[in-house]
Amino acid sequence: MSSVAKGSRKKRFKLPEETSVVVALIVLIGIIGALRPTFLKPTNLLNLGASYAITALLAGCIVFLLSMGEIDLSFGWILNLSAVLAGLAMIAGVPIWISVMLGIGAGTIMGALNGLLTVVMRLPLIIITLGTASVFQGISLISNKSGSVVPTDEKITGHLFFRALGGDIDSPVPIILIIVIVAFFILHLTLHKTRFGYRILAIGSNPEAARLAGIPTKKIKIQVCALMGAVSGVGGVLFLGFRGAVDPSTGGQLLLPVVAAAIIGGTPLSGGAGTVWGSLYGAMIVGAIGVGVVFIGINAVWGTLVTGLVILFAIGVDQIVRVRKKRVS
Amino acid sequence: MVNTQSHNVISVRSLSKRYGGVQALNCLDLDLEQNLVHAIVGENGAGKSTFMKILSGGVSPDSGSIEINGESYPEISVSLAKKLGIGIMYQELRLFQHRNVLTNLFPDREIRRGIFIARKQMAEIASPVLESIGLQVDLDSILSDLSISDQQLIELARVIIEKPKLLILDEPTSALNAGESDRLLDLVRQLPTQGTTVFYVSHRLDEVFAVADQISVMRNGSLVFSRPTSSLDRETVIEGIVGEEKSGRIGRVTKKLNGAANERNILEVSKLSNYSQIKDISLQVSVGEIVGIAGLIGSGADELLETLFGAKQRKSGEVIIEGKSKPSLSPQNSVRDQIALIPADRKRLGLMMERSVADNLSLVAVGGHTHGSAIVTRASLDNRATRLIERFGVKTEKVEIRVGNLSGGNQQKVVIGKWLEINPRLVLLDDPTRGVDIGAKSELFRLVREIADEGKGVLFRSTEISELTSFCDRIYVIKDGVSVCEVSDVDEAQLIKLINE
Repeated sequence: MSSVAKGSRKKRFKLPEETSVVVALIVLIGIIGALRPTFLKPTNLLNLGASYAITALLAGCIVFLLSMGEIDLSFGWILNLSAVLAGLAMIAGVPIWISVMLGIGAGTIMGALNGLLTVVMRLPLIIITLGTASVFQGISLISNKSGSVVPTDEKITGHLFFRALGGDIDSPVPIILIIVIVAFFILHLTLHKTRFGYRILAIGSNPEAARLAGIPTKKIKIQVCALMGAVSGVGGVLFLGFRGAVDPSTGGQLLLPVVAAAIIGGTPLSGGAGTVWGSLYGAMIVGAIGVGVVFIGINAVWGTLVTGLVILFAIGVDQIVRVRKKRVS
Repeated sequence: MVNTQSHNVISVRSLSKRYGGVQALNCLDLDLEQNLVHAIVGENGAGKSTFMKILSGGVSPDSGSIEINGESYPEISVSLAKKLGIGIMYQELRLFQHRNVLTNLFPDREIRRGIFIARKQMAEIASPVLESIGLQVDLDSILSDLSISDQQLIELARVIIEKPKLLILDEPTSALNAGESDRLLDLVRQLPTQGTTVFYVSHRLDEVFAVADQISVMRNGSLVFSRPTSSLDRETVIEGIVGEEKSGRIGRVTKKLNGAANERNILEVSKLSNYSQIKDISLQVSVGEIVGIAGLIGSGADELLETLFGAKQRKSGEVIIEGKSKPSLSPQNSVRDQIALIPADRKRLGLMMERSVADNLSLVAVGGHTHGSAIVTRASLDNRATRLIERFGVKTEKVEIRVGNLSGGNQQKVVIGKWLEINPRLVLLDDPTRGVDIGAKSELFRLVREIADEGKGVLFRSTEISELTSFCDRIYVIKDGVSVCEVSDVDEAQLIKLINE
């Protein structure tokens, strides 16, 4: 047992688990920058960041669900419906900030509904949200009458909310990016520094052991689903403010990039582990590929293929590292 | 080439197997005759299951040889076991829960006509076998819809359909009721006439005497004796199982308490029933007392602890903790009332195997408990872990190590340790020494005795009789879900008799 004393005293410098993602991101940006130097202009990078801010925000929150061993397929349509409801409220004359809160509140309720159904019906969230996704999409289509929701009134579009998010206010960093970065700090602290986060990870590691340790697993599940709904609602109103309109298809294409960002960032699908910051870097990788392909001059059609290959590469490397680790210890 | 052993189906010579620090089999010599029912008995850890696993090809021995039908083999692979006609029915069910009965009876050896599965032919083979077992189920019913006892009988039918030369049954009646057990025993008795030799492993002595032609007793990895049943009585078998140095292995550490203050009850249970096995159980645990729960597998002893903790639903009865009646039992309420459950299956129910020692040790204090700060820092987890590790002597290099990489004994200390952080008043221990080596065992017992001495109550269920007799102040014997008697100061032989009565 002499190695025991040695091991505990030796202070080894430990790289954070997100290191490999960050390295991959820097390499990727380096390659694109080497081929097209204009890509590296700060204004370009910030604009790129702003256009992927909502993807990143949702990725940061889906990490909570993945850590718990669950996955939500409906968040894109929660985002859509929240944005539609907020937009319709604004057009109907409801004060802007109240409409925004309304959108976020609607998202929270939709998320909580997902959670309630998964707990009551004792089915995995993936199955529940397979159904609720279409329900939310359907309600959205009924409310917007299959058309775009576009607030055009000067009184609305001239409001601080739209000016700030739409880029009409001078700020070195896009406002939407600042909001998302702040949200990431909050999400990270919540998952890794609170009892709530500890419980989420415990449920993801071993749900039965968590239940027998007195963790209110059902309550936590509903809460996490509601959080996902709330964040999707925030994503919805941010989208409305950023773009100034909501299409019937808004949010429908978010599922793949968001989950991909979380997985590339290093959060496993198996539950019990998760990294919020990793998902931010993952989202940046997804964004860099999407935009970079266009920048280099490759047909945009190739973007999706490249994203897919990068995901396979990232999870492949991750798996090799994990198997090695297990063998060593 | 004909020698005197030609009618032995199996001859084993100096078979040995070591698991880490535990000598599971120690130079086992055994000859077993063909076309008989052989019972193999012994305490937990006597080496029975290791021997069975070697025979069925799950485990390879360290040394020794196995002779089957005159041929000698150094070890038996799974495919060789199949070729030799060795069939085994495991204690744990290994069935496809979502498939129908017929598929389960022909796993991976379905009968085909061309490329199609010949359902009818399979049904024709299966039906008489099911009938002989006395199982009336539709061949199309899905397995998970059937009761556990039906599933156990299907597991048996699955093996019998193969018409094995040697059939190994490991506690086959653990989930069966009396009538079903009798039926199964009848069937087993007939098997030798159909050319099948049976190895019957069981803790239940009445069954063993009812079914076996020959009884072999194992202890500490070796054979004690192997004799025809007709020449044996219960006392001799129990003596063989227990051995002469019975109480020497674990020093007797019970102590009698005195003084009125210590007569206070921590736990009072009256007429507790749940929805499956337990019926009207009443018991008390007072301060500083370690109370044992003895019972065979399937007796409901394990369910008693789970029901008290709230992991299984209570049907009726009253549970009083330090004078207060508990209106609802749930894991959450138990944590609040400072009741701890150390589950038998620690991998499935107790630990987060992929997470660190530090994370695991906070599972109750941070996860289940609602007191204290809602902010959880790495440092607070590590500090708690370091403190607990020092107290219990968990052997781990550092607190960040994965719990899955620890030995069984150290894992069990982590499970107990996480509960001690909330200072439990009552500790429910469910077979805590399973998969724990001897050194760690005595340490565990010292730890539990310390807990009791701090003025707490301990309810201790074990499948190892010697642990109960040497360690508990009082013992309740549970049979068929009913508390049959309460004893103290008994020896192993007496307790085995009580459990089997």
